[in-house]
Amino acid sequence: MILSVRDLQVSYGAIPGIRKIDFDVAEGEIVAVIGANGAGKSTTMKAITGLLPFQGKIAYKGADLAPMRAEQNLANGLALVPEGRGILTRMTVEENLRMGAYLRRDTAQVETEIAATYERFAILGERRSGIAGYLSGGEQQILAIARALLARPKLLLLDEPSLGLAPLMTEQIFAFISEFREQGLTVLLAEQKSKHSLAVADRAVLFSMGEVVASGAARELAEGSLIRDTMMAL
Amino acid sequence: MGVSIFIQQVLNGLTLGAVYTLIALAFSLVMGILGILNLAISEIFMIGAFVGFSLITAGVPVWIALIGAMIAAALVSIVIARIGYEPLRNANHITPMLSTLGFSMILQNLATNTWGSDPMQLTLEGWLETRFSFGLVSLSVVQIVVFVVTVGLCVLTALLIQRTDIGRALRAVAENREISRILGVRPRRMILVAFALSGLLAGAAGVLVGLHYSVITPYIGVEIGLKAIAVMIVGGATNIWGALLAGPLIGILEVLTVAYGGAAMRDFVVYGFMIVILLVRPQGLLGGSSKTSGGRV
Repeated sequence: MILSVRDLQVSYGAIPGIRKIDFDVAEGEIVAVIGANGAGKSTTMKAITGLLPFQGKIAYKGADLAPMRAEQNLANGLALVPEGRGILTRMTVEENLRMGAYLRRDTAQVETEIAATYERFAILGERRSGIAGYLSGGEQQILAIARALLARPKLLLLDEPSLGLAPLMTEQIFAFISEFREQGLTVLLAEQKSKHSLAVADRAVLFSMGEVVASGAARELAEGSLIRDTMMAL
Repeated sequence: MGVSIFIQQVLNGLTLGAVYTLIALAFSLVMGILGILNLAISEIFMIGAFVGFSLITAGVPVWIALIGAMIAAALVSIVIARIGYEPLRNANHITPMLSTLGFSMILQNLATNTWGSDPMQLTLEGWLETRFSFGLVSLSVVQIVVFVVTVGLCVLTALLIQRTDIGRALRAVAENREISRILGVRPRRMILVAFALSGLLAGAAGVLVGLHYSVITPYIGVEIGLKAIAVMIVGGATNIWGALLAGPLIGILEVLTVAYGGAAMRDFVVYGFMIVILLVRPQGLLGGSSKTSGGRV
């Protein structure tokens, strides 16, 4: 397992955010974390990335993440695309991409990959000198994903990548996620859109009120009514 | 005759304004990341002046004395960051500001005890004494040094902030500390970098002011530091390069006021101008630009 989460608990002061979360992610698979607002998806992502202190155990490639800072986790291949995209709105598109490669020292290779990014995501190439804050929501999401890829992650955490996007852009974002599987990248995807998520994921974990209420193969969960019933109940 | 005097005053104002610009940039670098005024910068500037003066008096070449004073000022700034800011970083903004105010008093006291409260004078010798005359207008080598060093440091600061990884990291921390962390930036390290850069600029400004006036006291920090804050406000609280415009503007305004209205009117005009700007254009002359709005770094 590339990631193993056991008995994860996170509190915001006296308020429990996550009560008990257990799940694993194997190398090369896409695991969807599905749940409604407040289920604990973003809190889990932040805890894994090193942005929030936690109790319980999170192991990445067998190493305990409790003492690790966010930048150490990134250096070890753990990159987060946060909820709300988290682009640096006052910087240009290119500066955002360069920040994605902030920890890398292979300058020439970074330049090659930025050029490749402009080819793969044409809109970023067209707007490379533009202020990132002026991009549309979908373009910002593409920028946030492209920026995370420049860190050369082994495990990419995507937190609500379709939030607030038009249907066409949502389809495009999920198409990109499908491509990640072909490239062998491991993805942990937190989403409310269960249908899209289960279509691209290998396995899924269903969160409700800070706990795991179901998990299994994405295809099986997509066929059953558990996810729909759980989401409807909230 | 009148035009010559005017040109002379403008040149003198540009020299003074150049120094204001450097100190205003020093304030901006910390302000941009932490959102606080580091009130000790005025005294870090003063310490830079004394270290520079002491080195020059000891026979150290001016350029090396300049670098030495910059490094000393940067070290003092880092100490303030470690002791005066970091332990208070989660407190209300007013708390670390008060802490830097306390440090400014300590630094002034330290300077008084070390160098005395009497004015320290420097006799310029050799090439520094040279003046170039153009009719009734003259320009000293010291003024040229002040211009060249100020422009050079501004260009270097601009390149650092706009073109390097460190500059982008500083701006990332200024805009969103949490996002900067997931990009691999260590905000606490960047805070130290900002304090150090700020100290380097303030230290250089101290040496330049010392060379320009040839005399310094432990109290020069307050007067010139407050002017630099006025420069920062007039230039624009939402634009990092407003100081480049406002520094020379306030320098010229001050010198012309002294020349044509008398020294007693100087502060009235400079701070009156600052208040007018606050009333009619609170964002400052260059405030509001999209690329640099918000965080000043």
